[in-house]
Amino acid sequence: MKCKIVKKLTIGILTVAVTAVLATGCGGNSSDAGTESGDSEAQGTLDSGEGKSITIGVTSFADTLEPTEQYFSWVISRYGIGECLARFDEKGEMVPCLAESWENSEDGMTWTFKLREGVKFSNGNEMTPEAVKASLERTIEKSDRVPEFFDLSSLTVDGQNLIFQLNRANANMAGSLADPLFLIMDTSVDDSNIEMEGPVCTGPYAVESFSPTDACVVVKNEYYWDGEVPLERVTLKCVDDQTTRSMALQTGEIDIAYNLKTENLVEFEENDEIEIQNLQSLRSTYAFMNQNGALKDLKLRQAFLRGLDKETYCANLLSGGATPGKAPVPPTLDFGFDELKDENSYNPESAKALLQEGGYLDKDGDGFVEMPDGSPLELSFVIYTSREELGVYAQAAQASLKEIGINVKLNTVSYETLLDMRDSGQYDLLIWNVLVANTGDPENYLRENWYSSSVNNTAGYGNAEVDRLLDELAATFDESTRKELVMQIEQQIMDDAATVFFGYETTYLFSNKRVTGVHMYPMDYYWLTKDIALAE
Amino acid sequence: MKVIQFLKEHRQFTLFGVLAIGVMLVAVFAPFLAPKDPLDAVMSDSLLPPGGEYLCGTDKLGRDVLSRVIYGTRTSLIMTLCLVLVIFVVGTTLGVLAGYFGGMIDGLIMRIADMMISFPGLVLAIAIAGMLGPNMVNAVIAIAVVSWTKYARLARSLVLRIRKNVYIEAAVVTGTTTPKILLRYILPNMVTTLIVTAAADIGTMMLELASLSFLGFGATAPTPEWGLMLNEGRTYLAKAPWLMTYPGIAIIIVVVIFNMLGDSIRDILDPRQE
Repeated sequence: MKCKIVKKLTIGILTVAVTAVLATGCGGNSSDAGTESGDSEAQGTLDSGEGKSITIGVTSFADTLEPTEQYFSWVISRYGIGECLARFDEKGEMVPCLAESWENSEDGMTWTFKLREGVKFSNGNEMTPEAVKASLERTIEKSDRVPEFFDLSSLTVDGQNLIFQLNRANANMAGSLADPLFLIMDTSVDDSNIEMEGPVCTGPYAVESFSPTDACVVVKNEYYWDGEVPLERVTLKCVDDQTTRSMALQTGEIDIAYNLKTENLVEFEENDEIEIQNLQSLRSTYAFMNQNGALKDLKLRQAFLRGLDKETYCANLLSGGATPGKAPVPPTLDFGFDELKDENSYNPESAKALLQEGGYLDKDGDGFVEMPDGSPLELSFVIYTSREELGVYAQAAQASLKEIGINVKLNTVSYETLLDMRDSGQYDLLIWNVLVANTGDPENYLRENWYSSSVNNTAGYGNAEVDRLLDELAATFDESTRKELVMQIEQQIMDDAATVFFGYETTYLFSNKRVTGVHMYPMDYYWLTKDIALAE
Repeated sequence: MKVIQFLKEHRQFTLFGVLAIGVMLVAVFAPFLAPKDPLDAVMSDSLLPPGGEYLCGTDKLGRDVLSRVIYGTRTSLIMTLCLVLVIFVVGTTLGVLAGYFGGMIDGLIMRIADMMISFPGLVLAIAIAGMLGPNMVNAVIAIAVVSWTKYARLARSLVLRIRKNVYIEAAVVTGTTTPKILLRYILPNMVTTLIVTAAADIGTMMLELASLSFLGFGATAPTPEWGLMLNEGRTYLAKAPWLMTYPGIAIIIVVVIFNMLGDSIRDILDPRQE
């Protein structure tokens, strides 16, 4: 008996010892690579001589680093790799970036951009006007999202100038080119493995390694044009789960955490190492209603909208982390939000009446209505996991709609799957969370989602009046007329009950105080910037 | 009289048997026990702490946690019992066929079984559930696919042992038909061992189902299911710990009861223990 205990003890001690050795082994390895900051405090001081590094916890949706695929260029811009001709500052104002200045002809058909001199790509190559032209041409050739931004007739180089000749007038060409889709990359290098190696761009950092589900490591761009880059290496670690991300920040595993929400505030209440910023964002959360299915019936869509108590969702369920929605453009942008009339606001009684009118009756007594032809009505609502509030909206909607008898089935998938489902139109409702002023103005956003022939409009929405107004908007320069037009478009979309506008979120940014220069941008294309440094 | 005598002799079995029946009653009478409708979302009462009107607090959507836990017993118990029954029947049948007939059939069935156990169980179940799409029935199928092998292997080895007995040979010689041999002479001699295994498995299976739901491959919202409730509560761990506490306690209690019951059944039935 005694012998047994001794044996067990020995085994126990041995196990502990082996584990300890393994753990230190791993720790040693990862600090060599500079990726792990579990022991970042010590590492920070150790490294200060030869190289500083931080880790940022992000939610990533990029399968690859090919900028023309989906919205992956956003990731490249956020990670401080790619830059555009123009950019947006902390107030959302457009400022020069790779172009020093620009001007346009009266009719908005010709735009001339004067490119900055002395800019180099991260491989040392000169960013010549020809290189910029080649880069933009590559984007235009490869991305199907370009037509919604502008319709290019010709692109010519004139000295240090780049001249865009358009087929359709565009009042906001510089804003369009500030969308990360049009980031400038060096096309002279071999791009056969760009998916994993990333493009060679002009940003403060360049890709060292990339793994879609794990992390993207970027290193200082030695040739950066806008001053010395403060950090040697930054790891952008994918921590898709909100709770895990919050815990990682608490333990110091990451230094900055993106996309944390109101419910995380309480976790940092007494933690004075963490700085919390917030911003009434320009993001809108909404759900497409696929009019190729059961939702082609306006009455059903109206009933659906009237069944949703969005004010309660935002105030109670999200603890005020969002402003309730009704229109495409949030009140943070001055497009007359309060003047827009929402005839489909919360009203369960009229929702029920509408269902009845439309012939949606509960014939089998299961508490849910059937289609007028008697077949069961079950709406599939596709949501994705990396943004916690989407699940809250969807579940709340499911509960509210149960009250009025509409059966909604939630289908939770990854963001990548959601993109595929959207492209193939396999949904009744599909959640979407997007920046409304991606070009500094809602025009492109409206066009991309509600123009009848836009490739991204897979919900089958089409209204000739909206199309006409959008075309008119594109050619209008006058600010007040533009506002008028945007409001008319919004009103049309709302009257058509085309989309469920849930709310406009407040975004938070949590960062460790040992990192300085962390700012929030209304256009959230910029996460890792040249301003982010370690506190001295 | 005999029954009482038996129960008195096996105190542990009696205790956990009663508790298990209690759990089943909770499942059956959930509508009477639960103070609220588990799906009824009162959104103005979001995340209320335990106490007052809501004994165990409310979840994000203002649903009563206690009612959801009580209704969760239904989901978990029904699914677990179905699962155990399915793997018991399927596994035993295949095992008996493989063991009795041998040859090609044996080779085929046992190689499939070998394939199944060469993957980590839950990981394969996740893959299967992921392919089938998330819902409770698919979760049961996924776990059944990876768990039947245990019963098949056990049944096969038992059959091989029983087949060597003289009474089987006697039955064959006297012209008893094969189905009769299987049902009359072989099954009764092995069924106790299999029942012991099944009883001991209930707790494990319940945990596996809850794990799948926790990972999002089992029950889908708004079904009250413990694993799913744990997952939903995870986000609010700091703010509303009761969202995880109560479903967690429920899982522990029920799993312990069924594990202990399984143990006591084994103590009573398993001849090897003597």
